[in-house]
Amino acid sequence: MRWPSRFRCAPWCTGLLLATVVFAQDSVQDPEADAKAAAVRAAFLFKFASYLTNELADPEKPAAEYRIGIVGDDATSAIAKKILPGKKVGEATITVVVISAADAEAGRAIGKCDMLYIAAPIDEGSLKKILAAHEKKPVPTLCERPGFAAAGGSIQFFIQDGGVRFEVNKDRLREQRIKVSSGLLRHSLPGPR
Amino acid sequence: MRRRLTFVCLLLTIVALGITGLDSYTRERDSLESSMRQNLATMAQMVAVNVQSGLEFADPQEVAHFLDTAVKRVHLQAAAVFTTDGRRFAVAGDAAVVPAAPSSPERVDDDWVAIEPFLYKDTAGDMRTGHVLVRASGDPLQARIGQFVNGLCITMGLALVGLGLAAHWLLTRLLRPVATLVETTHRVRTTEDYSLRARATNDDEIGALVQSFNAMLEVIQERDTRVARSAERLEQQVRERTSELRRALEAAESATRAKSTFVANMSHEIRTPLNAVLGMADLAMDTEDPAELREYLGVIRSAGSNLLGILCDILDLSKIESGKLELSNVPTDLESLALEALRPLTSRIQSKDLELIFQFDPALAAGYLCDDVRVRQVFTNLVGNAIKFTERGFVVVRLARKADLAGVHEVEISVQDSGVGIPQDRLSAIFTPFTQADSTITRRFAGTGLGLSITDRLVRLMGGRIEVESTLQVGTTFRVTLPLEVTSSPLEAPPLPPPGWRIVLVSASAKAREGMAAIAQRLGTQLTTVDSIAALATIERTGHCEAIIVDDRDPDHDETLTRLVPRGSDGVRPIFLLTAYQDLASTTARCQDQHYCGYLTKPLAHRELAQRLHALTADPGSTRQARQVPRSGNVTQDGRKLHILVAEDNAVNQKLIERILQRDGHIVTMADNGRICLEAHTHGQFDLVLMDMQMPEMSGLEATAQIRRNEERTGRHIPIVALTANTSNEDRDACLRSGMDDVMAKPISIPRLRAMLAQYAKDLPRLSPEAIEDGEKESS
Repeated sequence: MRWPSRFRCAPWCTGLLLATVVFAQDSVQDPEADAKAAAVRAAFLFKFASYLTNELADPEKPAAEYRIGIVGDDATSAIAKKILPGKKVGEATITVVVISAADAEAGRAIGKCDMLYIAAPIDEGSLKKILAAHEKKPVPTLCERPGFAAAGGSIQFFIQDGGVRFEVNKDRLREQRIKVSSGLLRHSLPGPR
Repeated sequence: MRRRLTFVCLLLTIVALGITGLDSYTRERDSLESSMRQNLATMAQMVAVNVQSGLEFADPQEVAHFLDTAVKRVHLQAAAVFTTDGRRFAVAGDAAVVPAAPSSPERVDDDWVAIEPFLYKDTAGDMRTGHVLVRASGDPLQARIGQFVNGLCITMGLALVGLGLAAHWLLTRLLRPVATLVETTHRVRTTEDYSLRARATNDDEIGALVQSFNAMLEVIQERDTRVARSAERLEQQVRERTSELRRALEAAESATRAKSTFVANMSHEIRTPLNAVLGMADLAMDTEDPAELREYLGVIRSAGSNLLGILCDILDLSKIESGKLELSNVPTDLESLALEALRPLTSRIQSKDLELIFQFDPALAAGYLCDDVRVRQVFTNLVGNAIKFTERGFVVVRLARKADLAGVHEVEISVQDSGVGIPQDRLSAIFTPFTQADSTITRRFAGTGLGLSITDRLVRLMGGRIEVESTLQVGTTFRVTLPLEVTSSPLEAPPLPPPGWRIVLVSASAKAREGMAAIAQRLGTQLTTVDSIAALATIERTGHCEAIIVDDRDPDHDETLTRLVPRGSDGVRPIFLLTAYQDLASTTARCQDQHYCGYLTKPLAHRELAQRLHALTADPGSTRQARQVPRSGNVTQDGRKLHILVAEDNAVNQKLIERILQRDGHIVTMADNGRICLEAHTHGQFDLVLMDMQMPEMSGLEATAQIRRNEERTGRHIPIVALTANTSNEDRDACLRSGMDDVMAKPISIPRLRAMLAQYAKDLPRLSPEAIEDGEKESS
């Protein structure tokens, strides 16, 4: 399609306008919305436990507790530590296990938790080590850091239309021998993008 | 019936189809509605399952997308998800029909609504109850129900038509035998023909009914047949019994009649000779003339002899019936016995101008052991019977041997006559006592009817049998077969004349000449026969003969005979007159007057001839026989002369009544029977008629009745007095009914007769002298 000469700059202008709007949106910080989003992400951690199943676990011997490991600190981890312990996933009771970055990098979190949430502020190098340590281990990793799924994480949170959404790296979860419910996949974005 | 059944079948079919269709419709509708309900519920459940994660992850877009997909794929009107607080979380389809809250009736208008609750975890992780609402249009359901109803109606219609046709076919098939059965029943009822049968076409209940009906008809037919047979048998039995009763009644009546007749006959038969005896005795008492007295005594003797015979018959029958008759066994010469029995009958033979032929079988023995008296009685009865019933012709008596069974000969005595004969249906009755072949025979021929029954019983007593063959107006033959033992002490053989003797027979009868030839052969003499005395001249000229037997009753021929046969040296002519028994007196006189050797009695026996010839060789004079010939007397007249017509069949009684009346000076005209009496009365003039009741040809009753009918024209009335031996009241009444004026019973009482004549003479006009003179001439 060829644009008229006087409108040849129009697509550029529109793109620029949209980028501005987008960046403007990202740059605008609403503390209440952030808190709400953190609470939603914490609730999603609890809900993910129902949609993820360790294929290596013995279905005949269900665990009495479901341990959610947290590495680092952010709003989500804070809320998770606060609201998640004691909740029930099936017959199991949820416990929150705080794991240091070093242990996580060394892969020592494996066996101590069934799901590992990595706070977004963690440095890039530590994140890579942690992901590498859990690349083929039955502990799904979750984080709201953009590009987390592309970096090899299992599930990545993001904000879309003011709501918390998530992206599921099905390849990673397959390698980790974690089965993902279709209900979870229906509401996720296929990744990594 | 078929229309009713068809209607009922169709009605039942319609009702059944209606019920079935309604039930099917209800079931189908319920099924469809239930299916709709379940489908909607399932859809709601499925939606709930799929939207649960949407609520948990707060993803209304994804939920709405899912609902939209469901609405489009499943053709829902709308679908909605409500959160636990009743807020619509997501809606797809026509949002206008989605209620604000998750509550709705199952059906809204024609649409269907299903609400499914489900659990989900809110953002805080708490379990909440959400609701899925799905709404579907009822049109497809209604369309399916409509299609089902249409199909159902078509099916029911087709089924109705099919069932109707089937019912029609079935009823036609089923009712055809019933119709046939009904028709057969009607035909059986109208025709009462129980041999008809209904045709069984099928082996079903109706076929069984038809078979049962046929079996019932068969039973009825058999029963009817049995009833008919029983009825026929009963009718046959009734007919037989009735016939037997009728025969028994007739036999009883016949026996009663026979006994009554017998009693009447016996009375008549006894009274008749008794009358002669008494009457002749009265006459004898009044006469001084020895010759007349002798004649009276002869009649008395003859009548007494008849009376004795009747009494003997009765006594014999009584003895035989009571089993008291005993038979003797004495050596008997059958030929002599037969001839001796026949001789007393020759007078009757001669009086009726019959020819008696006696044939003796030379194969018979000279002597047999038998009861000679009873055998003679058999001869007498049979021959007497034959003579009685024969008016002209002959009577043949044969003696023959039929078989020789070791000294016992079957001897057949046959007596053949040319008489009136016996009807075939009366042959078996003639041996019954007191019975003759015909009751009219009694009147015509008289007799007791005992002779044959006594003969039959005597023959059976002697171990023999008697048979009879008869043809009306041709004659009768009686055959008696007796088993007689040949006597071991033979009788003395008769002396035979010297060989070479020649005898001559003069007889006009060819039968007599044949019989004589047989006798001459037995005696070994030569025989020459001529048929007249005139022909004897030729014999006399051609050669010598020792004896001449002359069968000629006419004394006028004696002159020729004496001229042709000269007297011998002893003064006697070698002539034997062949004579009947009753002519012995006159024959004896002829022999004396013409110097004949004597007489031979008919039928001639070879023994008698042999003895006479033998005597002729020994002493020609010893053969002379003599007897006084009776002379007739005179009568005297006394009182008024009456011309009296007497109808009387019995000769003795004729003589008696004639003498009685003539002695009193009356003129008597005698008639032998009613017919002659009637003719005499018609052509002559009489003062009075003495009428016997029972006479041959025409009885006294018939003659009297006819005389009275004749008098209706002349206006005269002649006194008719019955003079009868029938003395019963019935007979007296019969006489008076026939027109007789009075009845006098036999035996005749002369005083009563004179009194009666005197009484009637007073009222009678005197006859002219010419009439009296004519009467005297006629009487003389």
